[in-house]
Amino acid sequence: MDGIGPEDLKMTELLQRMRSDQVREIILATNPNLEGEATAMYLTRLIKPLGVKVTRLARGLPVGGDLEYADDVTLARALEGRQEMQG
Amino acid sequence: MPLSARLYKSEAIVLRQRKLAEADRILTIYTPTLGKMDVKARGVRKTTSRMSGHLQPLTRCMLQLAQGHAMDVVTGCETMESFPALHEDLGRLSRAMYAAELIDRFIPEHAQSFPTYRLLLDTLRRLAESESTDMVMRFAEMKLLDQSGFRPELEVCVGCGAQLAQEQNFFAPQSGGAACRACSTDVAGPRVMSLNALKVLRLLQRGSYNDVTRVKVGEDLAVETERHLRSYIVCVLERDVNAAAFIEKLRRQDHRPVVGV
Repeated sequence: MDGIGPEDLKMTELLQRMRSDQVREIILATNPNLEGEATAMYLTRLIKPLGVKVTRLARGLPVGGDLEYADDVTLARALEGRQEMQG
Repeated sequence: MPLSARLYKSEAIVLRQRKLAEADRILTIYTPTLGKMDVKARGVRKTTSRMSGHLQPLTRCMLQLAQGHAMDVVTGCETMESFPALHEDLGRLSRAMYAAELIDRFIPEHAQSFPTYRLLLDTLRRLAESESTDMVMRFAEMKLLDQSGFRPELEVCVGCGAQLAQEQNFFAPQSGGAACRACSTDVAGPRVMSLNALKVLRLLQRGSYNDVTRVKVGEDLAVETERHLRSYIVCVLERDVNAAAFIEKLRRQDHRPVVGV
């Protein structure tokens, strides 16, 4: 988007490295916005067929944020990624 | 002027965003009553921003804006529709981005048009629900061309003005529409157009969305229709649409036929 295409992401280099090195997991750290989402989905399509685990950084409520002002997408993501309390 | 006098509210769909300074963004928004405009959203790149989630592209939101010198400033916002289905599927998302980019490129700033706003909103809703996202896009393209004053001529030949025969004809984007066999050498950049493609294009131009959904279009015909419309859009805009190239890339990965204008 905005003139930055998939070929600008150095994907060939990454895929080459994945074939030569022992890579167990790829962690996608793209921005938690629309472009980041599209990029992460696109990279997953490329990497998944190689049989490597693909994960993405958690999205949800920020530390110091305010629940009252959260939008529905953020809330949905926060609910999806909820974790059991250690008590 | 006191702040309260400078404040106003408007519904909007966010088309695009770009970074500004340390933590701000400039948003290109499309509103039903004020048309397309750029507004400034302060501090929305900070993780604790209360507004950033509501201001993502392809979100329909209610904005509170304050009149500024160069640009109005967003002072409050609330999501009205966020189209979650679009965010889960790259095929739908890329087409929605294409729709937003088309509107951005076709519509000049502050040109108000409620039907075009409605078209964008309906298109986003349809993309989130429909199985046939490509036909949703063709319908949106044709209606947008119509509403922006670039309706292609599909009834008579653009060269001689005669009714088009029920046979293979030509589509000449630079000449503004379909051309008959005899005129195909006189018009600029003619491309062969099958009779079925002409029928689909006419249906897209004249019919309602319900009419279009009733027709089953095979993959080859869909690709041909898309090729004609794309070449016409590229000709009108005098440039390609970025998101269209991305959609093509996804198709190539899925080993599906590509349009290649």
